[in-house]
Amino acid sequence: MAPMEPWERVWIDAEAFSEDVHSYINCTDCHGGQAVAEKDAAHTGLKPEVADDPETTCGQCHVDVAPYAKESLHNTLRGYDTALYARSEPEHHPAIEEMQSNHCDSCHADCGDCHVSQPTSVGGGLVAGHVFNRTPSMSQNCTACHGSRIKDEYYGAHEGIPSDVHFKQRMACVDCHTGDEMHGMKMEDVNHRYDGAQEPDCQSCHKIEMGTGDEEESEEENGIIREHVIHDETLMSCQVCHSTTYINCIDCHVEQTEEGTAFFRVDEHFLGFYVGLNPNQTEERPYKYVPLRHVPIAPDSFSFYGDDLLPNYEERPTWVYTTPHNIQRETPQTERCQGCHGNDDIFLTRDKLSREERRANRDVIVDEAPSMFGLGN
Amino acid sequence: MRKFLVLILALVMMLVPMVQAQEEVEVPEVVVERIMEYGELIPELDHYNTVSLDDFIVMLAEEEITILDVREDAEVEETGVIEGSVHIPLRTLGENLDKLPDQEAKIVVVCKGGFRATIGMTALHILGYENAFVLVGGFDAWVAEDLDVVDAPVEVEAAEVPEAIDPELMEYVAEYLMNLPENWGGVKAADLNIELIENPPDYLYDVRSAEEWADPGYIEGASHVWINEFIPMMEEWPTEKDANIVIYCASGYRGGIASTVMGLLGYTNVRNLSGGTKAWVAAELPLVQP
Ligand code: HEC
Ligand code: HEC
Ligand code: HEC
Ligand code: HEC
Ligand code: HEC
Ligand code: HEC
Ligand code: HEC
Ligand code: HEC
Repeated sequence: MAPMEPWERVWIDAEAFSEDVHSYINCTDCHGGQAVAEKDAAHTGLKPEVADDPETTCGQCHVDVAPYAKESLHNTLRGYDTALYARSEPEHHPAIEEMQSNHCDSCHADCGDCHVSQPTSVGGGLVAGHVFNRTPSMSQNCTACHGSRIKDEYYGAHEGIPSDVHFKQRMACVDCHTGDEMHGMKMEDVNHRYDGAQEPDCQSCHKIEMGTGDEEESEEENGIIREHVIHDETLMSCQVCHSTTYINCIDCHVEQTEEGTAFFRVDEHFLGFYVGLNPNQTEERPYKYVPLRHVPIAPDSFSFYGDDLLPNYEERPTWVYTTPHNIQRETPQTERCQGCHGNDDIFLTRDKLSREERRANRDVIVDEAPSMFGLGN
Repeated sequence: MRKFLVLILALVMMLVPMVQAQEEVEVPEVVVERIMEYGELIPELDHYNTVSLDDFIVMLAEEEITILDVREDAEVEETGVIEGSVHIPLRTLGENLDKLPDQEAKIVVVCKGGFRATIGMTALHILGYENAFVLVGGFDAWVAEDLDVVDAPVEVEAAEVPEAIDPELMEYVAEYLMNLPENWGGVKAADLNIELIENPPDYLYDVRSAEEWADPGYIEGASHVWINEFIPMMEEWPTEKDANIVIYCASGYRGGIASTVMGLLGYTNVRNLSGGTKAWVAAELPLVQP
């Protein structure tokens, strides 16, 4: 995405915006400030964010969206709390909150970040001359925040790793991630990204290929792929076979610039594909095996904000449930049964962990790859 | 409320001219004429005047040719050049015609990979240099074969600009080259796919032959206009000069000719798929068959 020119960021397309229902609302009703033709006076009392509380702003009219969107992870960012608090103790929560308000809150997505402007993390700027877009833009909204990991995987930006099959089929994020999902699924107490039902669910679009759709149709279309029926449905997630090498991060730390400003630094990225035991086994995600991704947390990640803020570091694995966005029809795993059977390389075995991380990951490591026994060649 | 809206509108109107500042350029008659002539010549050119590395090496041995390196100063300093090259960065080519031989001479234009050289070659043709060629794969292809390079281009004494070149034409082409966009008007395969997902170009032209359109197939959404018929069909080009247009061929050369010609005729938003359908397929993006 070419960076926006400064004027472009604030340019209101009068013609297009005047056709938008929201143009009947006063600018000041949404933005605060004063309706006078002198910049400094007009900007007195401007709200930094329009929809900081969605219910009292957009929610006045969008009553079927706002109350739930308010509870969504995009608004609460509770996923970060869940992960960090589990590794910490209540007495350290204030320090962690301070850290988050400095480093995480710019990722918070309000209504405007998906429907009106680019998120602040990429410098803001109106996407369509202040028109309220029904459908968020993949490149200017979604991947502006979900940049490094998902964007690069989905677009195939890593050298030698192809883009996602759905990207090739010209599908945008919102073709899978619906408005209802983005607005919180009418769920309360969402604690992390894989809380509740799988949303979206690969099966919902691929019943036929999985042989779980209308039986005649399934067989006729497909002849049923052996790998799709030989294992129990709950044995592994689709990504174990259909995903390929993805990015993992190590050692994120808050550091200081010479001027004393704190910033995040992730020391290292590495590409890899590792199947382990499912750390979040639930009714909705019953799989025994799933791909795992290394998250960049270290016991001293936040020592800038206090000593030993993560005393329970080992209470959670550093290899977590993941659903990489680089789905392929053919991968080394789909090529032959021996892609997995007898192939320790793709399984997260003990020897792949550093000594310090072994305890934290005791529940997700695999002793050895499934055997070759009885498979022949 | 009403008064307030008027005020905002007034403010907004003040911003409008900034966006519409790119006015339609007036294209001189002589430019249109030259392009029509070039259009008639195109079907007769051998491989559209692209030269493979092998043929280039033979040419070097057997013929009197001028190698014109149109890369930027920094690139040339970093990598050196093919021995005997004259170096004129693409954007300044129109102003340095006095450093080129006469219009009948054989000139092989070289850049890093062939993209810019195609623009240069096309511009030279429009200016009347009918023996301008482009080296396929550019300097990268040369280096990939471990062929020798030298540190510096040759120094040429500025001579006269050939009299046959219409001054108005020369000025116009020079101005066009000078204003080439930062990335030379190329679009990468994955980026084009993103655009096709969310804001497709107004026009997507495939300028390959009918055989290539059928096999290996075309990019979904494209219209087919063979390069040999592209320029003669000028009348049917889009009427909006600011339309978002993307052109492609198999590797980028024919697309480069077509996009340069459109640019010269005042189209302000024409791009060429870098590496053509070969790059598209290398990125594992799908082609469809008619
Ligand atoms: C005064 C009432 C009102 C307020 C406040 C309001 N909207 Fe709307 N909005 C509407 C109406 C009416 C529509 C049109 C509904 C329809 O077409 O079904 C709409 C449509 C939309 C649409 C869909 C646009 C489309 O093209 O289909 C989006 C997105 C939207 N609003 C977002 C917001 C956001 C974000 C806010 C807060 C910054 C907001 N709205 C505040 C009344 C309001
Ligand atoms: C302003 C930044 C921002 C924008 C814009 C944004 N996201 Fe997010 N998104 C986040 C953050 C931060 C989280 C994680 C919140 C957490 O874990 O607490 C998240 C979580 C998610 C999740 C998992 C949780 C859930 O609610 O399902 C999905 C899926 C997702 N985003 C998809 C999208 C899509 C699709 C778009 C574009 C329509 C988008 N995001 C736009 C920042 C953003
Ligand atoms: C229905 C509520 C609403 C109305 C009415 C409204 N805006 Fe906005 N405006 C927004 C939202 C939402 C954003 C996105 C930024 C955000 O989420 O804070 C935004 C963004 C902007 C931005 C860009 C800020 C940036 O840097 O990204 C400008 C400038 C702006 N509005 C000016 C105006 C003007 C002038 C008017 C009156 C013509 C107006 N707005 C009317 C809701 C509104
Ligand atoms: C083919 C369907 C599909 C497309 C297209 C798609 N996703 Fe997803 N996405 C999924 C699935 C499946 C999950 C896992 C959902 C679950 O288990 O609840 C997921 C999960 C996520 C998550 C949460 C997990 C994580 O990795 O953080 C985010 C964020 C996300 N997607 C963002 C995006 C963005 C951004 C795009 C567009 C660039 C996109 N997705 C395109 C299917 C898709
Ligand atoms: C993470 C991105 C994201 C955020 C944040 C978000 N939306 Fe949406 N919204 C979507 C997507 C995706 C759609 C579906 C678009 C489509 O189907 O074309 C949508 C659709 C809509 C629509 C039109 C359809 C409908 O469901 O009524 C309205 C209105 C709307 N959003 C309002 C809001 C409001 C108000 C907020 C804040 C409370 C908000 N959105 C926050 C992504 C988002
Ligand atoms: C919103 C619907 C949708 C969702 C959700 C979805 N897909 Fe797809 N998928 C498609 C479409 C459409 C295609 C392209 C048409 C086709 O070839 O079937 C496709 C293609 C594929 C292909 C390639 C098939 C081929 O013939 O080349 C694979 C493999 C695949 N999807 C796996 C997945 C996996 C794994 C998930 C979950 C992460 C998933 N899909 C989620 C709609 C979806
Ligand atoms: C044990 C490995 C394995 C698992 C797990 C798996 N697949 Fe597959 N899948 C395959 C193989 C092998 C193929 C055939 C690949 C080929 O064409 O070479 C395939 C093909 C596909 C295709 C293309 C089928 C066609 O005929 O066009 C789709 C779509 C697909 N899988 C979706 C899924 C989804 C969705 C899941 C999860 C519910 C899943 N797969 C789980 C191994 C697997
Ligand atoms: C993506 C990895 C993967 C691929 C590919 C794969 N398997 Fe498996 N397979 C497993 C795992 C994991 C297990 C379970 C090991 C355990 O936990 O006991 C398993 C178990 C089995 C079992 C034992 C029955 C069961 O459900 O526990 C059989 C039989 C089997 N696989 C056959 C095959 C055949 C035949 C192929 C090739 C057509 C194949 N597998 C391809 C991963 C794979």
